Formats: sequence, structure tokens, C-alpha cells
Amino acid sequence: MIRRQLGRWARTGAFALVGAGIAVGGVNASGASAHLSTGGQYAHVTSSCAATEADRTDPVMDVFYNNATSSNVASHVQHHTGWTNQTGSNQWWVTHTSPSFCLQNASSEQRAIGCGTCDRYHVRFKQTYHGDATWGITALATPHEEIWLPAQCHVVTSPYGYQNGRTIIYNSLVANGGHAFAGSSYWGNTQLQRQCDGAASSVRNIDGRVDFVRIP
Amino acid sequence: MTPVARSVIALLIGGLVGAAVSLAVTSTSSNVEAVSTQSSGAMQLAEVRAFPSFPLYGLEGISDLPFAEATRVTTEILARDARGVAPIQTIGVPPNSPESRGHRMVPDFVDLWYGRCAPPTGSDACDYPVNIQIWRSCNRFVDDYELAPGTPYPHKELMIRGARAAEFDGDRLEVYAGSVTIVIFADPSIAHRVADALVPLNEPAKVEMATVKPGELPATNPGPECV
Repeated sequence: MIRRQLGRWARTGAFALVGAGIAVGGVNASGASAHLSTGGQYAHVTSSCAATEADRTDPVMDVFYNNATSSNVASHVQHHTGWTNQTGSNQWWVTHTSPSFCLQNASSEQRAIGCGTCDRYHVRFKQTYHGDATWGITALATPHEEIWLPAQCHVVTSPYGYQNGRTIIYNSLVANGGHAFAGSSYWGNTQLQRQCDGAASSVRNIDGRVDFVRIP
Repeated sequence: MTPVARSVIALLIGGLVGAAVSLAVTSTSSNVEAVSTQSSGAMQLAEVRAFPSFPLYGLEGISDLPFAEATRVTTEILARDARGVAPIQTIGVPPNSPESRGHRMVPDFVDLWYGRCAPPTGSDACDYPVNIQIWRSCNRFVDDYELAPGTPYPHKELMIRGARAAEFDGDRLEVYAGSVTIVIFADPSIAHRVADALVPLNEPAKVEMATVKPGELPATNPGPECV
């Protein structure tokens, strides 16, 4: 496989989100050239952030917006879900394109309902490189449901593990938590994710959908 | 009628019924999809070629990208994989769904993998360099994508072999050929090579290709949203 070179697919211009007709509440503007990156549809397992099946891992299922610093996302997720565990590998994220930045989340940028060797719900999140003129400070998140294979690894529950993760976040923060919800969009990030136990386990973002949840 | 005769007739009837059921399940000459005997959704190459529901395009005769695997994905197959465990239900009805803006993407596609397995270091997972997903365009089309609610997803418009195509920031290349959307997940340098080498795999694709100039793909024709 040919590794993707960072910056090879640099976009030629910035994209300002219009958000036409969508009520998003008190969004903080952060600069005319700021924009929500289009390159970060999946988390990655290496610092190359290569656009390959081997390097991609969990698909982005949520975008937190408005004041979605990593610490704010952590606080609100933990408050509404009750998830306090921060055990899990740290993954890499395309937080900006043109130029491309591939940054790793810290242990503090994840929450889980259970221990590192338990069946659990788990979410990693990463603030994007800069904010967006319409959506403010944004963060990408990859919630999922996973089971622990003894002496091996976590595998995302098939077939609804990613979908369940997104639903849990919505139910906890929006339906029961009162967070504003701007809606959902189709990103089309439906590539199959091979799980760590081999080809026998594989799961995907079934419908390519991403939710937009506001962080006050 | 003697008991023996009744038994013989019963056996014959049972055999005919069994044969009819078998034909209904495995018939590939009608609109009935073949039911794989392997793990849920898995397809052999022969089943790919016999797939009746919508055109399939893939690769043939490329030595470094041989056919590896195929999977059929539908909501029914996903439910079967879940073995009776339903997905978690959303509380209430989330507002501002893509459907409210006329977009709809129901999981209903065929996944094809090409190349040779290259397990990542420390993993038993098998990764292939090329993954092609084929959806009906009425179910998945470039106009369905949004970066955020109400904001189109940025992409680069292309024409590939006479068909509309789109490139998504190194994430994937899509070709809208006839009535299907061909999603190519691969390193960008390989993705275009794949698009240039696509050939029809099943009968519906060959029918769409019948009036197309040599070397080209069917012109984009997505049709209305799928029922």
C-alpha cells in the first residue's frame, strides 16, 4: 500500500460554513478563514493519518460545536453519561486539511463507562485545529460500543456498535441532557473497519451519518 | 389407494416442495438474490457476477489487485448479524435529520475488496489496498452529502470515462456511473487507477454498458430517491 503523503490533497481554498436556516444558538465566531476540516472522517492508528483501510479506525460519528474544547467536551460527556474511565489507546486525527495536521488525542480526551478490559461504551474526541466561523470551536468524536476479547483486544460490537455509540451520546446529552442539537448530516464515511481480532470481526458506520451536538 | 402408494405420493410431493424452495432461495435468473451459505452477507465471486439487484462494477485481470472478498449489506442482513439484538433506540425524534432535507442513505450495497492481505503490525486484521462499495445512486449520491446540516460537503468535481465523479479530500473517490454510485476507498494514487479500470461484473451492469462507447462508463443517471 502506498502511504498517503500529508498535504498531497491540499484543498485550494477555505470553506466557510453557511449554516443557512439552521438555528445553532450562540455560536462563537472565530475568524473569517476558520473552517471545519473535511479530512477527518475517521480516527487513525498511526501518525501518518493515511487514507488506507489499514490506518483508519473508528469513524467520526459526532461533531461537537460552539465551545467544544477538549476539556469542555470531556466535562459534558462525563456529566451526562457518567463515564469516567480514561483507559484506552490514543489515536490520531486529521484536525485540519490544507495544510494537513495529524494530531494524537491524549488520555484525557476519552471517556468510557468501564475499565480498559471490560465490555463498555467508549468515546474518544479531539478538538479541531481551529474553530469555524459558523460552528465555533469544534471537536470530532468517535463513540462506540465494544466488547473485550480476553487477552486480546476490544472489538466494536457488530453490526451496530458505532451506531449505538452515536445514539448513546444523543440520548445522554441531547434527549436527556438538554444540549442543543443542530441536526445530522451524511458524511458517507461507511468504510468497513477490521477489528483487532482479524477479519472475522468487522463493523462500519452503517449509514455514514454524523450528529452535531452543541457544547455551551 | 394403498398405504404404500400414499407414502410414495407424499414423498414425491415433499421432494417437489423442497426443490421449489431450493430454487426460490438460490435462483439467480430472477430478481431473487442468492443467499450465501457462508457467514452472513459474504459473497463468492460467482455470486457477485450473478447479483441481480443493481449493476456492479469492479476489477478484472489486474495482477496486483486480484479479487479478495465481497460482502452484501442490507438492513435485513445487519439484523441477522445482530442475532435478535436490536440497535439502541433514539429517545424521541431527532430534529433536522438529513431526510428532512430530502437526503436518504439506507445501508444497501455490495462491498468488494481487491489486492493482497497486508496485516498491520501487531494485528491479525487483514487490510486490502482497494475497497469498492457499490450503492444504487437513488440511495447514495453526491448531493446527499453535507459537511454540516444544510451545508454541502466540499469536493472536487470530475469526469471519469464519461461519468460524473467526485473526489473527497483524499478520503475517497466516487464515480456516478449509470444508476449506481461506485465508492472507491483507496490511497488516492490507486483510486484513479481503479476508476480507470472498472469493468461491469454482473448482467445489470452489462446491460447499462451495452450502449456506451468503448472505454467509457454509463452516463450518470441517479433517478429519484429509492423507495
